[in-house]
Amino acid sequence: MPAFAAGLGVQLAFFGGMQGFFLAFALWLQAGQHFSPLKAGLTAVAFSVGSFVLAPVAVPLAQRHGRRILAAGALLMVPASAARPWPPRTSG
Amino acid sequence: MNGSPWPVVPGLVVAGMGLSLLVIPLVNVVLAAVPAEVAGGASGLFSRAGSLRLRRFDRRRKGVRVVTIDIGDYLPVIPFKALRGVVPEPARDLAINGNPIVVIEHDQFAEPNVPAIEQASWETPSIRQPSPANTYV
Repeated sequence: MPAFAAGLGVQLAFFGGMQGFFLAFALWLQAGQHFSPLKAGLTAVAFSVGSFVLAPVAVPLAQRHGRRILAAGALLMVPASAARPWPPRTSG
Repeated sequence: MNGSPWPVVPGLVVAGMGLSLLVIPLVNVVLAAVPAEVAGGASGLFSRAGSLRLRRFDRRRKGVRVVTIDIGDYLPVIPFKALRGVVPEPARDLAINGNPIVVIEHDQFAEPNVPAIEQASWETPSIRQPSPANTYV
């Protein structure tokens, strides 16, 4: 079942990367940018807002366009997750 | 940034949109690839794959290396086969919180014929008292 194996691999890589990203992101916001925990949490709400917007249409889109939608989602995440000041400054 | 969160907000919104497009159909894609009678187990394996941690491969330390749910008769140990090139024997009578598990031991990497249920012990000190150094990679 190559599709199943590939899906598990995607899931593993995706959530591993996601959790790593948000750990580093929270540390960067709070320790680097001196955000309060509340402010850092509210900043991350923007991520939830984005997923909230497309969640209802994700399955219909995938039914119409197949696995290309998954690739599109991954491609959306790469530059968007990287879209922050670089190099990250240690003080805001 | 200068104390303002707004420079990162557009990126986060777009990343969240990408998350929806990736994660939600991924469940359908994965479960469509297995027979209906094993969909339950496949679903459990899929959800565990998101929180799986591989222990650091440390030859000096004996004990449990990787724990995951039982893969049953139908599904080979795909993630580990892909990662390690090793297919362990499922430990069918071992369960944690009601979930059957497979324990892959360090020795099994060298000797795949070692029975997992006898070699692996859930009570090994490295599991009972996980240290930050060896809990996660």
